[in-house]
Amino acid sequence: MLFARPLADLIAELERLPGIGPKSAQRLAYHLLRLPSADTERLAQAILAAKAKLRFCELCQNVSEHERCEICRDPRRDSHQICVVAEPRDIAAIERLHEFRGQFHVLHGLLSPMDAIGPEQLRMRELLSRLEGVEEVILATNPTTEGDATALYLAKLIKPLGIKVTRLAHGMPVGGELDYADSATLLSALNYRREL
Amino acid sequence: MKEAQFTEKAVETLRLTGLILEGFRNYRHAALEPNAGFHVLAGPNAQGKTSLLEAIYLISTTRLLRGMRDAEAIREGEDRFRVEGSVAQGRTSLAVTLERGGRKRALLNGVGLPRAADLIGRLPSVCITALDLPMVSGEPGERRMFLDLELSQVYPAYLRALSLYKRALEQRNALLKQAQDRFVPDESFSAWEAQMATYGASLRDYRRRFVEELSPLAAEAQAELGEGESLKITYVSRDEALTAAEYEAALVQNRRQDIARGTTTAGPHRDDLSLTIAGRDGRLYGSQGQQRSAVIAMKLGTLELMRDKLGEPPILLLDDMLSDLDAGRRARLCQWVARHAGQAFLTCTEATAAGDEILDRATVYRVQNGTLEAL
Repeated sequence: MLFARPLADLIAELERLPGIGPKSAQRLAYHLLRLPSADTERLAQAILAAKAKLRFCELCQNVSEHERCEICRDPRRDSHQICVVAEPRDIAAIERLHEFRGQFHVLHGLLSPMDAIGPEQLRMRELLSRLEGVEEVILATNPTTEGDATALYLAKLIKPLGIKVTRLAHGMPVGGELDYADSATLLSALNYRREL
Repeated sequence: MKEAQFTEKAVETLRLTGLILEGFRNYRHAALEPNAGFHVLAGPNAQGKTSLLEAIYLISTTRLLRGMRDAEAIREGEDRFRVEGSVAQGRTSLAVTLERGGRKRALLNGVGLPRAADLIGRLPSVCITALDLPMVSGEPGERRMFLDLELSQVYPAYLRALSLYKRALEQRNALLKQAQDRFVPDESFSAWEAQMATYGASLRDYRRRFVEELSPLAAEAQAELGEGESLKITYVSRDEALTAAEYEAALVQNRRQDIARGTTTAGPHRDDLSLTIAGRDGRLYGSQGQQRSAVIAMKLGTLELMRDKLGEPPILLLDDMLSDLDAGRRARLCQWVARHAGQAFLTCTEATAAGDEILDRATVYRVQNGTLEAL
């Protein structure tokens, strides 16, 4: 037998995590074995607690400790603006700017018929049910085929309600050099150039 | 003379100045430092002449020759292959690597590119081999492959539109199949159709313009090769849609029949080239000799077209076509190459097949059992 049974089980569990291959799984497993019991205990507790205590915010569908997440409960946030993202981690990216003062909505994925993901598999109904009083919906899905399709789909549903629908711009990275930009980015920067 | 128009600087950029093969086909290790002119690779069959051309083609297009499988190019007993070339006088390095069981990777100056296809266009080439015959005799897909590859080498925007179009098409087709079992609302379709329309119209536009320019150039090359028969190439679409709006309308209109068939019936993915040789459909009625000549003429026409767009001729890779042609045609092809080509690599069993006009200006290599020897 290559590994003792409990070790083999641990490696198998770690291997199932995204981005972890067999080699990394082994390295992590041996690392965990070397840790003091108190450390592994804490890690295990953290995983269990996160799983037990977290849920999705009833409004924006972001991961939250309460029925409503901190952003949705914050009275200083502007509820007239909703920024729609695919994943919870996208909220963190925008929040790091400390510029956007509106609220968010997490779809938890993008449309992809190939993967059997339709509107019903995403948190779209939840978005449509919270649009009253909203003045602008910013579609901040990735500029991929699926991200664009999801944005187009939502725009078709939301625009007829008289709400302004916008999409993140794409172009040259700020401070970047033309020489190093990939041709797709450069191309879209050229197509969406603006007058000075 | 068109040759006289090149500035020295331009000629330097798209030229291969170094080539290294490791574990590729029957080469354990081989290195070559080509000059700007002609290179004749001579030797018996199955010794590695074509593999050398294929290696250049690989760093140019990230693909093996038509119909070859990537994994089969790894030398027996090796875990991986690596082909690296230097261009722009060694300032830029292009490499393609493949590990057994892994995915092909492209590297630009040693840095892995997110998509292998991003390498395309850095070292444009035109490759002529006997494997290209299906371009005339085969299914429409073979001809679209020709268009896609040549256009991608010149226009990054084409390659971009092509990959986005294919992706949106796959998604729409998946949706069509789902719609056979349950109701799918219109909005779900239009999210994909809008993107197909934008990119599909762009593909057609590029292809039409390319074919319009290629047709007279190919006819001219055909005449220069001494073929008395005319050659005409036209781009053929089954549906009439020209603009994005027209194509989107066609997709909407076809939805019901597309659902029944489970596939998208209209669009550039169904288009074709029509090749008329001496007034007749070359695909159906052309003899093998006529078809071979048409392939050569189309490729030579492409070389001229790319020269016009790029400002200098792409690399010419000519694989063993010389032995398939009769003496007169062979001589005229060699003449054409001597007059029109920039950097070129030619394979033949006997170097003399390349003719004096080429040999006078060529470096000749003897290729034997995966080794190269300059003569």
